[in-house]
Amino acid sequence: MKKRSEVDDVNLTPMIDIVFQMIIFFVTTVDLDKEKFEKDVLVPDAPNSPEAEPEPSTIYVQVKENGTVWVGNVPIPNDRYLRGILTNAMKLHGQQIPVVIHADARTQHRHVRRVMDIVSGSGLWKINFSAVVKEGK
Amino acid sequence: MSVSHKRRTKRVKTKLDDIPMTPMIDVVFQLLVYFVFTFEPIDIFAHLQVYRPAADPNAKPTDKKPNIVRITVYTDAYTVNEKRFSKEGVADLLFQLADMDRNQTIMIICTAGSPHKNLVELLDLCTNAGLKKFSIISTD
Repeated sequence: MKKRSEVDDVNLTPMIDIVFQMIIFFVTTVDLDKEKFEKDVLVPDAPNSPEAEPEPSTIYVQVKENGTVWVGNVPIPNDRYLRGILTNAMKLHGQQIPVVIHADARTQHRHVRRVMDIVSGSGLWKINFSAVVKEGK
Repeated sequence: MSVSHKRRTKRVKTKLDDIPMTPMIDVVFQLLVYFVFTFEPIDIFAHLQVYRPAADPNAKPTDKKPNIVRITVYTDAYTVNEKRFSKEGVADLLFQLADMDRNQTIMIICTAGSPHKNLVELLDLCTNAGLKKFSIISTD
C-alpha cells in the first residue's frame, strides 16, 4: 500500500515539458525543402562562400553526374522542354528571376554549359551555381 | 452557498484527477522517437553568381589577347595565363591579385571535360580572396 502511493506521487510534469520542447524543436527544424533535390546529386563544397538567401521565385535546375537534367522532382526529357519551362517562367515573373544550377561535383562542364546556354537563351541572366558551405552531417 | 460551492469544486477536482495521461504520453513519446530517427541536419548552401559575357557581333576578330588574368580550368589542373598552377598556387596568386586590385575582372575559361567541382572550387577561391568580378567562358 505504501509503495503504490509513492509511485502515484512521481511528478511527471517536468518530463512532459521537456518532451514537448523536444517535439517543438524537431517540428520547427524539419527541412521540407530537402525533398526538392535528388539525393544522388552531390553538390561541390565552397566553404569560403557566403550563405545563400534564396528568393521565393528561384528556379532550381539539377544536373546529375551523367548529364540528365531535372527541374524540381521532374526529369527533363530534352533541351526544348527545359527551354519551354524557363521561357514560361520568364514571361510570368520577368527576367530578374534567379536560376540556380544545382549540379553534381563530378559532372562534366559540357553538361553545365548546355544548361547555362539554355538559361541565357530563354532570356534569364541571373545564373548561380549551388555549392555546400557547411554540411549538415 | 459556501457549502454548495465547496462541493462543486471538489467534484471538478476529482474529474481532472481522473483524466488518463498515459495515452497522451504514449503518443508524445512515439512522435519524439519518430522525429529523433528521421532528423537530418540541414546542408547550408551558397549560390555563386556567375556572369557570362556575350560576344559583340560587330567586333572584329583579333589575335591580340586581352590584358586580363585568364584562368583555365582543366580536368586535373589550373593554368593562369598559360602557366600551370596547383590549387594552392592559384589560391596564393588570387590573394596577390586581390591585394593589387579587388575590382579587376578574372576571366575563367572552363574546358568541356573538366569536372564541375573544379570550377566551383575556383569560384570559391576567388570569393575567399575578395575578388568579385569574374566571367566564365566555356571552351571545347
